[in-house]
Amino acid sequence: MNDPIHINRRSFLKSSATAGLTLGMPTILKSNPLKTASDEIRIGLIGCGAQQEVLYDTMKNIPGIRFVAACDIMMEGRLKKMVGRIRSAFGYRINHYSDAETMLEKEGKHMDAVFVATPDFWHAPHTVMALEAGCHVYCEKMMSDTLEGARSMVAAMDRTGQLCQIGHQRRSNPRYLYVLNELIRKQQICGQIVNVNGQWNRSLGSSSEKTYPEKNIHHLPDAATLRQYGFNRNISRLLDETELRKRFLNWRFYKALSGGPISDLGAHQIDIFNWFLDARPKSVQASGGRSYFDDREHFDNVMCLFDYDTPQGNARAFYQVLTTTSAGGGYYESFMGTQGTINISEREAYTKIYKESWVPSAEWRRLVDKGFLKKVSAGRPSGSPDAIASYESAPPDEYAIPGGIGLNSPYHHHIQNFFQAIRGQAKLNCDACHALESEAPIYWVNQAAETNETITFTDEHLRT
Amino acid sequence: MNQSTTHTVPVPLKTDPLAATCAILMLRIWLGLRCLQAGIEKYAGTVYISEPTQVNGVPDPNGTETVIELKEYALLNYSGLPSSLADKFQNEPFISEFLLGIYSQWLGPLLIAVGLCVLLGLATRISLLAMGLIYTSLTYGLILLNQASGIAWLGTHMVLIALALLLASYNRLELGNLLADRAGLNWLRNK
Repeated sequence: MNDPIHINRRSFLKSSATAGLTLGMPTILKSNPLKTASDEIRIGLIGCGAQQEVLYDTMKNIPGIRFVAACDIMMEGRLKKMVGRIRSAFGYRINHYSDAETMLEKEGKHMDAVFVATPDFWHAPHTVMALEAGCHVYCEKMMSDTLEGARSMVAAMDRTGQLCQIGHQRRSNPRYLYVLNELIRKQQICGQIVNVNGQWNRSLGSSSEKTYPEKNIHHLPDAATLRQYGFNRNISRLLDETELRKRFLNWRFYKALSGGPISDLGAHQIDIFNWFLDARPKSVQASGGRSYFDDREHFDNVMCLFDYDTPQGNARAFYQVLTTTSAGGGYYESFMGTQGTINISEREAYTKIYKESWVPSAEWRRLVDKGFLKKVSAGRPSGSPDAIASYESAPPDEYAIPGGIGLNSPYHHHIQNFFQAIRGQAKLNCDACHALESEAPIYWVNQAAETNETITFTDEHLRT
Repeated sequence: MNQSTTHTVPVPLKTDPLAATCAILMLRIWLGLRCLQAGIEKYAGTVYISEPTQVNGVPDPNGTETVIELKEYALLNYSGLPSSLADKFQNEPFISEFLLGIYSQWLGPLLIAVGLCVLLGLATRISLLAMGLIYTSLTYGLILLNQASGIAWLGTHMVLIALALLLASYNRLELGNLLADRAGLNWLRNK
């Protein structure tokens, strides 16, 4: 790798008029580009579980890359499967390791980028290790299980000058970019955004405990390995192999290993609140409980309320994550304004736009004529005798966004952005520093829910 | 007594020859196209292409794309029996899986060949007979699956094929006879 460019990010941030103005601004750090834009990017994989498979399935369709090495503590059934998939897709063998540190030590100089998709409590150590080894890093969200861990990632990025993209893939999703840049900012179809609602409702089936087929149970790492890699952390007694394997497969259930549903699912969406509102919340209130899974460490259902001072005025954002029912429209973020509302989601089917009935149709018709929006249906009064006209607003007209992500996976553009940044052709859409600015409030939700107290954010709470 | 025997061609339908010639021609075109296209459709597939979304007359700078669905024909798309239908035959004792595979493999090409023969008028009677047998085989499958509407639908085809065979003696405008006269390919005549 060439010499990194050092820029003091914090002094740059402090020089901005408000912290909010920097939200969503791409990093000013750029890596040293490869020799040419057509050079192969050599990739290593840390963690080869389900999420890495999702990333790999997207990456394999992007030209100009070569996989070099992969590691996972589960050699059988997981690491070997990944190695086999790469071999059958690309026709070459990659080196594989059970330990990330060993892999980085031996392969670091042969790799340009590393993809980290390990349990949350390993994100920070693995990312810092990889950055120190001279690799650019794409790390899955949540950045870390702790705020300190996330801050160490930002510090390592600053220190090494390597790129560190956090996997908030909505930040590169063309539909999200279109809604923010074109509809909210330029056309201002929402008017003043006064309220935001977001949710991720997931069924019991998707939230239930993961098990491994008994006949292949030997594929799972043994107790000594799992202890060595931290699955016994923060527990005074030595857990037996069965307990450790349960924690290995279901690390999201444990406070020592993850931030629970609010960070697992909420991180993506609360990030969108901050990005779209161009502000950081002033405070958070939260409520949570173990409504169904009463043996779990984390709350299974959490609701929280953020208070914002946006450039347009005061707004509140409500977010709920339910791991006990998928009813209520799946997962989306809804930006409710005085003139219109945009429901947006990674699922195109959940993306809908509504015009407030009092807003004259002519302006929206102009947007439809120019291709900014598609008209779906006119609002229809229910006409039923139980609709009391004097109490009820007229129903809004429904519109849609004209385009989407095409045939690409939701991860495609974010990974592509990472590769382009490595080649010096783009700036990262979600570098570690900006990701942490947005993620920092999320670290306080669980505490607010546990204490039932409003947390008013200070610079210390949210500093990066 | 000098008796002369006259050989008369039986006329199955009492009609004037011109009308009958037109009728058999129409039936040939209808049945031929129907069969030919049914065969060709077995090679049909769908391709999706993504294009930059046009906003205000220019491609959206945010990179949104619009997916367009296109129909295409290719040998690789071939699917003889729809998988939904083939799956249903799995549990049918009267259907051999091995024979079903062969049938599925040849159904498309057969429909195309027979459809072309009927349309162009190559060995019209034999081609119509072959077409009838293909539709009978398809009908048999639908009988096993108890799909009454499909059986009735194929039944209408059988009526048209039978009618075309009855009118075959009026078949004039056909390529088979032309090739037989010009190139001596008698086997292509309207037999």
